[in-house]
Amino acid sequence: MSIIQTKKLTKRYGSKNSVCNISLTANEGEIYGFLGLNGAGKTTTMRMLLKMVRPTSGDIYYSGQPISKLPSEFWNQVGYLIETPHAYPNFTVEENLILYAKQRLIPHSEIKKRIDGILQQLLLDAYRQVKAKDLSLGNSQKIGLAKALIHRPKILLLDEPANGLDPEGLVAVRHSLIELAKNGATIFISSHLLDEMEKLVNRIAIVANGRLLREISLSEFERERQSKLYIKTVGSIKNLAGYFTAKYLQSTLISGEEILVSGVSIPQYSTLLKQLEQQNFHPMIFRPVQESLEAFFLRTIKEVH
Amino acid sequence: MKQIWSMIKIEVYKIIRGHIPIYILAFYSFLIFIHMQSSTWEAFLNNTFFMYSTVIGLMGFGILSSWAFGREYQDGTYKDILSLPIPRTSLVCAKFLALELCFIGTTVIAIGVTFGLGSCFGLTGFDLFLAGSVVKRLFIATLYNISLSFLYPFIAGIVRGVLAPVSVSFGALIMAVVFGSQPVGRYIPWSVPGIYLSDPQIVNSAGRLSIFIIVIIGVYGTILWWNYADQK
Repeated sequence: MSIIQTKKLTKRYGSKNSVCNISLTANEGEIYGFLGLNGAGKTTTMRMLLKMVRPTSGDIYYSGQPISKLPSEFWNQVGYLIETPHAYPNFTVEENLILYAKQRLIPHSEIKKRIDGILQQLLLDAYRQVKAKDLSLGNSQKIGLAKALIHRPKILLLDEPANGLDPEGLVAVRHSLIELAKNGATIFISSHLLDEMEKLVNRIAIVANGRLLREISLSEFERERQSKLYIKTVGSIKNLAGYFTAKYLQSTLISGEEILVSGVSIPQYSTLLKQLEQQNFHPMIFRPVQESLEAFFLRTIKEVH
Repeated sequence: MKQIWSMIKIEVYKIIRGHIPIYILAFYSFLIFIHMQSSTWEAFLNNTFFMYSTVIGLMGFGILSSWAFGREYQDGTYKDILSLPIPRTSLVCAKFLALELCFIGTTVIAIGVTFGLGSCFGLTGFDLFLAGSVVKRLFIATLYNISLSFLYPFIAGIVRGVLAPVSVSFGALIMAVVFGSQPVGRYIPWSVPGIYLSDPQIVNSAGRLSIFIIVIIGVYGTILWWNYADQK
C-alpha cells in the first residue's frame, strides 16, 4: 500500500526549478532512501511533503488522500527532522522534549515514560538536564531525532538524520529506524552517508537538479549494481593494466599493486584467472567486489549528465 | 478547544521561561525610582501609569510579542510547530492568547508594584475612587496597547526574526512621543493609548478605528502568513 506518493511535484523559485516533476512512491513499512547531491531538491521536496512549502504544481498523497484534504490530526502520525535540528536553547533536553510531547498531544501520564524510553534509545540519557545550547552537534541531532520519534509516528521524514552522529549514535539510530519499519512505519530518508543508507533502505530514489533520475527497489539495485574484479599482485601492475586493455577490459589502478577490472562476468572469472597465471601475473588476491550504493549513485548521476 | 488550551499553557510557559515579563517589570520599577518627583497619589499614579503605557505598553509589549513569534524563526524551532496535529490558525491564536494573558498579568503586577512603591514613598492624598478611575483608564489603555502589539508577530514572520519588529516597536514609541502632544496624535494608533490616559475625551472613533485596522492587519496577516507562506 502506498503511504507517500507524489505526482509531478514541482517547485519553482522565480525562473529556477528547485524540484521538477518528481513522481515517487514510498510503500508501507518501507525505508525509502532519497539520494541526491547538494541542491538536488531533496529538502525542498521534504518540506513540500510536510506542507512547509507549497508546490508550484503537482500533487502529494498520503495513503491515497490528497495532502490538502488531510485533517490536522493526521500530522500526529508523522514525525520529521528537516536539516539542522533546533531546540529552545535555554531549555534542557528534558524540558524541550516535554514541551514537544505536549505539543504532540501525548497524554500527560505517558510523557515521562516516553521521554525516558527515547533518551535511552538514542543514548541521550546522560544529557537530560543539559541545556540545548550546550549540546554538541551530534547530541543536538539526537534531540531532533527524539522529537521525530517521541509520538511513535507511522510516517517518518528524515533529512540528513545522521549528521554529526558518532558511530555509536549511528548504530543506535539505525536500529531504531529498522525496528520502526519492521513495525510498519514508512520512513522517507535522505542522507549523504550512502554506506549507512545501504544498510537501511528498501527503495532508492536518485535526484539531480530537481529531477528524479531513478527510483528502484533494493532487489533491482542488487541486480543492477556492477560487479568489479579486485586483483592484487606482486608483479608489474602496469603490464597487467596493459594486458586488460589488450583484452578490451576496462581497468582502474588503485595502487602500485592493486587494480579494479570491470566488464567481467562471474562465469568468466576462472578462465581469466587461468589466463593470468599463464601470463605469469600470479595474483595474490583475486576476488569480485560489488559496486557500493555510493558508486552506483555516482555512476547514475554521471550517466545522466 | 482542549488543543488550544494546551497550546496556550505551553506558550505561556515559554514566555515566562524567557524572563522578558520579569525584565519589563524590573525596568518599570527602575523607571519609577528615577522619575519619582510626585508628592501626591494623584500625580504619582498619573505619571507612572502614563510611563507604563508608553514605555512598557508600546515598547515592552512590542518586544515581547516580537520575541514570542520571532524567536521561533531565530531559534529554528518554527519547523517543530508547523506540522503538528493542530491547525496552524489555532496555533497562532494560542500564541496571541498566551501573549494577551501575559500582558494582562504583567499589567496587574505592574499596578501592584506601583501601589507598593507609592506606599513606600509616603505619598499623600490617597483616594480609592481616584485610584480606581486611574486604574480603569490604565486597563483600557493597556487594551489599546495589546491591540497594537498584534502587528509585530506579522513583521516577525515576514522577516523571520526578532530584530526588525523590535526596531519597529522602538519607532512606535518615538512616534507616540512625538505626535502624542499634537492634535494629529489622536489619529495615530501608537499615540492613542497615551492620549487616552491623559484625557480619554480626546480619543475619537477615528483613533479607535486606526487601532482596529492594526489589529486586523496583525492578526489576519500573521494567520495568513503562517498558513500560506513558504516556510523555507
